[in-house]
Order: sequence, then structure tokens, then C-alpha cells
Amino acid sequence: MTGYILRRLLEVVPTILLVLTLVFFALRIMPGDPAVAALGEFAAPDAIDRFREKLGLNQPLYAQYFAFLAQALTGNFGNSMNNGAPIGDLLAQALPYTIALALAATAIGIAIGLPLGAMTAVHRGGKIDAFGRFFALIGFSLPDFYFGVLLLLAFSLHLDWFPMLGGGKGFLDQLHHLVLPAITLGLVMAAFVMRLTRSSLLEVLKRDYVRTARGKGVAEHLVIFKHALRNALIPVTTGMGIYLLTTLSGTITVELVFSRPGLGTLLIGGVSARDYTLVQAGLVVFAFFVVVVNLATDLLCAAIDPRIALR
Amino acid sequence: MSLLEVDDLRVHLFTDRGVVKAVDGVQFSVEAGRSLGIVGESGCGKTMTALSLMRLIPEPPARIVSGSIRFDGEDVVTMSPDRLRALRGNQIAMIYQDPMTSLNPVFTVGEQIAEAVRLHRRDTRSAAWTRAVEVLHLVGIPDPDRVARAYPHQLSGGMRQRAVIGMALACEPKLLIADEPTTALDVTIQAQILELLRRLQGELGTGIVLITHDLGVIADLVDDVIVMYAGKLVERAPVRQLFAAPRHPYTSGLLRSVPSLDIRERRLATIDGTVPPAHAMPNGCRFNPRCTLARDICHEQEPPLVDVGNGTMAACWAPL
Repeated sequence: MTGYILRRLLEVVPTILLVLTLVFFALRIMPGDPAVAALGEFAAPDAIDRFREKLGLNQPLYAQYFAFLAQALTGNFGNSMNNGAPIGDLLAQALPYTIALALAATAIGIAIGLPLGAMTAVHRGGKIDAFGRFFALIGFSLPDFYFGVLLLLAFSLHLDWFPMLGGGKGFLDQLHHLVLPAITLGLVMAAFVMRLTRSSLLEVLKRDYVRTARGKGVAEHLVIFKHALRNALIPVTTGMGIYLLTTLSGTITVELVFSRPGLGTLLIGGVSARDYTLVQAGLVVFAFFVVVVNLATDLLCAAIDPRIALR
Repeated sequence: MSLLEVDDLRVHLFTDRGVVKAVDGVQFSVEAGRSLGIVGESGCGKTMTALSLMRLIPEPPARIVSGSIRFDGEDVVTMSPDRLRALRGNQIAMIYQDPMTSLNPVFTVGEQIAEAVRLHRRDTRSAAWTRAVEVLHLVGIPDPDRVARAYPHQLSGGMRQRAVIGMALACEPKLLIADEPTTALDVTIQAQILELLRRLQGELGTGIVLITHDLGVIADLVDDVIVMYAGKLVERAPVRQLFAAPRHPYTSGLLRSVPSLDIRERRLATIDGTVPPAHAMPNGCRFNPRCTLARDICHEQEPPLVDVGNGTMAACWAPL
């Protein structure tokens, strides 16, 4: 197991390098001159030259690339092209909101989806199953931006239970602000987790080792939650990992709907203002998330299934 | 009172394409310390019969539609789930057919055996573990301490099968149901396992139901044999009697299809044709399309299971 963890950690290094390279070149082949974009079409030529020099844009591409790599690897992404603020600070302000949203949504998704999925599989064809499948249908067919607006209308505007906008100040207030956005993303995720758990558990319940457990005299709830569910969790974990990544982009929409600070809001702002350095840094952070989530998924799978670490 | 008395057991599969009578009126009994063999081709209802004894048949689609299974006087068919759990793995245990799929991949072999011990003996964790290692040693695993800590995928097929056998023996059951217990093993191990089963039978008075298509194993281990064909019991006899003078044409065909080392240059006999599909069973005797001795009555009426002498029962209009 320790060997497997080390191996997987080492594999992260080339992935990160590849991601940085792709982000760098993808932005360089985008049409338009960043200096012109930042200063405007009618800026004085010498101002544009000074701007280029300041950001190192007049240097050869390979020099820019290595400078970018060196910066990114030390966590220093330079200053925003637009307002000159250090990007590190901007990210540090935005990240906690996005991470809190993604974690809260995942927690809701697992807390609702996993037990509901297990119950629908066990009582297949019954009332609980019908309810669960209806829930999943709703969850899958409601787009998060629309569902978010519905929640806002009902619980903020009419009932006034939750704040409309912003991220909140102080822990409790932030928690208060987190509820509706987290439910928006979390319920959709719960629908996904439910479907995944249901189909995976139905498959596992047919296996011979489940019969072996029953044949030993294991009580039915332990047959399901100990013997079957642990096996069923392997595809659920993998699926969750993939889904969590789409949820990360989902946070962008939800942050916009709820006017929440966060990585999404920051990135969208950067894109519309053509703030290349900011977008570049934001993409790197998103990519870093992807790598971390993938790594966590793999390690979790290995913890659940002893066969994985041996491959 | 016999240890196990099965009477008129019928297990039907309710599928989209109709009802399949997987087990159709089977009756037998097993005394403590005795063993019964169930033989027949694949799909004849052997495994379904065996699983029914512990009510482990897949419900749905399968259901016990009638009959009784009396274990120590209690009817397993109508037993409460709690009582059934107390019996399973404790008084009645089963050795499963496929060692590759019968063990849970995410628990170690020792954990899986110790679980059964803890469930029924209320032992401490360490006592249960000690017992797990002990039974692994009992089934002839050379390095039981290491094997107990191994996951199923780290063991060979033979090792896994012995672990499955160990799990069944862990609580010293009164009745052991063994579904093809030695098919996955090579011959030397097979002999060891059969010896082990024989010893259990002698020392603990365990009753054994052995399901196999290997007539050699039957001849080696069991006292009585029932022969099944297409869900029906066609012959029941003491093992010597069955091998010496089979009365049902199907049994006789099965025995003739065993290769012999004594007679050279003889083409191996087979039974012509195949078992008819479940939804197209012939009228009368189910064996009639393949029977060389079939008469008119065989196509019209189902033969009842009757005493044909020498302790043998056969369901045939024209017993040999």
C-alpha cells in the first residue's frame, strides 16, 4: 500500500508539468495581443512596448515558458494584468469559498445519495425505489443555474431564511451563505450518487460471495452494509471522482447565480477583462484540483479494494 | 428421526418466459454420520436442491413452491428468518462450487472464517481468529498464519477452495452440504479433502450431502445416492447397489459413460441426445426421448418413484 501511494504521488509530477505546459501554450495561441487587450486599441505604441517589457512579453517564447514554469512551481503567479494586484492574494481570497462549496456539496451528495441508493437497491421495485428514481430524474433534469434561482426565489426572496448574495463575513455568516449554493450543487450530486450506488449494489447483490455471507448466518443488514456495500463502493468512488470534477465547473455557474466570491467568479471576471495572467493562474489551479481529486479517488479506491494496490 | 428429511421438494423459477420447474418433487433423507450423493448432468437441479436446503436460492426468480425440508425436526421452508440465521453456518454449512467467486474480495480469508465463528460461538475476536487459523490448518493449508492474513486474490484456486471448505467446517456443522467441493482441486488435494470429510463424518457424526458429477468421488465417499434428471429424482439406492445394478436406464447410461482403465479399445459410451429445454419437457417420462427402452406408456404417463427391491427406488416404467 505504501509503495502504491508513493508511486501514485510520483505520477502526479509529470501530469502537473504537462498541465502547466498546455495552459501556457493554449493561452499563447489565443488570438489577440494581451498588451493591446489590456491597454486598449488606441494606446500609445511606447506604452504598449513598456507594458510588454514589464510582463516579459517581448522575450522569446521559450524564455517566457521557463519563467512561467519557475513562477508556477513556486506558487507565484505574478500580478494581475488589469489592476496589478498580486494573483496569489486574489486566489487566496477566492479559493476557500470554492473549496467550501465543493466540499459541502459533496457531503450533501454522499449523505443523501449513498443511503438512498442502497435502500432503492435493497427494496428494488418498491415504494422507496419509485421515490428514489423520481428524485434522481428531477436531479438530473434540473439545470443547476435554474434550480439555484428557484431556491433563491423560495427561501431568500419569499421566506427570507437565507441571504441572497455574497459569501458572508465570519464563520457562522459564511455557513449561512453556503447553505443554498451547497444544496443546489449537492442535490444534483445526490441524484448522481444514488443512481450509481443503486446500480452498483444491485450488481454486487447477485454475486456468489453475498450468498456465502448469507450462508454463514450473517444478518441481512450486515450482508448489505458490510459485505455488499463495500464492494459496491468501488465504482461509486470512481464515478464520484469524475463527477466532482464536473461539479468544480458547476461551482462557476452557482457562484454566478448566488453572486458568491470564488474561483469561478474570479476566472469569469478575468476572461471578460482579458486578464491573461489571472486566467492562466486560474486554469492552473483548476487543473491542480483535477490532479488532486484524481489522486484522492485512486487512493480511496485502493483503501476499499485491496486488489487495486497490487496492480 | 433423521437429521435431514426432504419431502416432495419443488423449486420453481418464475421467469419472463414462463415457469421453470428446476426441482420437481424430490425426496430423500440423511442420517447423522451418513452421507448422500446427488448426481446428474449440469442443469438437472442438483445445485438448486442443495441451495434450497439452506434457503439460499435466489429469490426472485426462484421459490420453494411446495414440500418440506426437516432439519432435526424443524421445517426449514417455514422457519423464521432469525431461526434460519442461527442454523446457517452453524448447524448447516455449505461448501460452494466456485472458489473464485465465493469469497469476498475485500476481506482477508481469516476475517471471513472468523466472522462465522464469532456469529455463532460468541467468541472473542482473537479466539475466533485462532479458530480460523486452526481450520485452515485442518484443511491442509501448509502456512495457515500467512493464508489467514491474505486476501482471496492472493491465493491459488486450490487454496481458495480449501479456505471455503474451512469456512464451512469452522463451526463443526451437523449437516454439511458440499456442492462440487473438489472439482477445482487437483487429484492429490482432492484425496486429502475427501479424507477430511470422511474423518469429520466419523468423528463428529456430521451428515453430508455431496453434489457432484464425478462418480468416482461418489463411489469413494457416500453411503446412498440419488440420481436426478431434469429436476426429477429418477433413482435412489445404496451406493454399492447403484454401481452394481443400476435400475433406471439413465443411471445405467451415466455409469457406462465413465472411462475405464480395465477395458481397452472400447469406444466410450454416451447417452444420445441432450436434456430437453425447461419449457419443452416431453409428456410422460422426461427421459423418454433419450431412452432406448422407451415404450408407449413412457410417452404418456409420468412414472412414479417406486420400490424396485434391494433398497432401490426408481422412477421408471421398465426398470432394468
